[in-house]
Amino acid sequence: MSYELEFEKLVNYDTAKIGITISVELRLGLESVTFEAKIDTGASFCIFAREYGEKLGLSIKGGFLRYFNTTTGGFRAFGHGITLITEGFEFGSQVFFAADENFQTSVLGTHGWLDRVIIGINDYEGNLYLSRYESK
Amino acid sequence: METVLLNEIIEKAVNLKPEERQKLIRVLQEQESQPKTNGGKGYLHPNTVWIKEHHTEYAGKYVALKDGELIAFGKTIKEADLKAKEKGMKNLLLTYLPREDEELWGGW
Repeated sequence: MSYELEFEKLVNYDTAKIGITISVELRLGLESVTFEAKIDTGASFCIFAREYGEKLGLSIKGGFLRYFNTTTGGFRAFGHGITLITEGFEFGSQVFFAADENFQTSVLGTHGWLDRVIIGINDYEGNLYLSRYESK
Repeated sequence: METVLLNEIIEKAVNLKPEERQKLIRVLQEQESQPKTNGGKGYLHPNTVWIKEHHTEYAGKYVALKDGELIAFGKTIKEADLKAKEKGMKNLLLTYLPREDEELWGGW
């Protein structure tokens, strides 16, 4: 048995970079910030460097505090409701900004991104197939 | 803001194209719905405020929020999304609210 999926977009990503890295835009009112983040199915939520939330004018520490585990320890991050845009797909999402200013990794995780899209990956060619998922 | 500058902004706003005016209205409304907090050091979106105040009531569930109000919730994202759509609501924040004892992962 075989299955077919159709995707709205084909994104070519740079296989020379570690991980699957794509452009992300965060928007809050008039303010927006664009940067790169890695797709990470092991991340429970989208987690970004604190500086991006600060550029939006957010009160980072005023957000929803949660603790995130990693294989080497853990870190605190604050959740905020914002608009998340990847490859033209825009949705309201709760994303987290790391409490530590030295935390520079930004990842697109399960809740808030992966649960809103359908993806297909051909890592050999550096191809990411992407669609926004809409319930029927 | 000086009255002269304000009048200039108003004059320019009046002469905007309809779609530009709608964009301006949307942006101003979004700005107005974002209360200043933390002694003016930053903003908290009303949806963030709702999450902080109600996350224990809806822990382990998905919620659909609009401007700081709960529109729908469900055990799955699909359930919350479909309930919100039944109400004809668009541009919602759809998110999961983890339980207090739930282990969250920051990535591989």
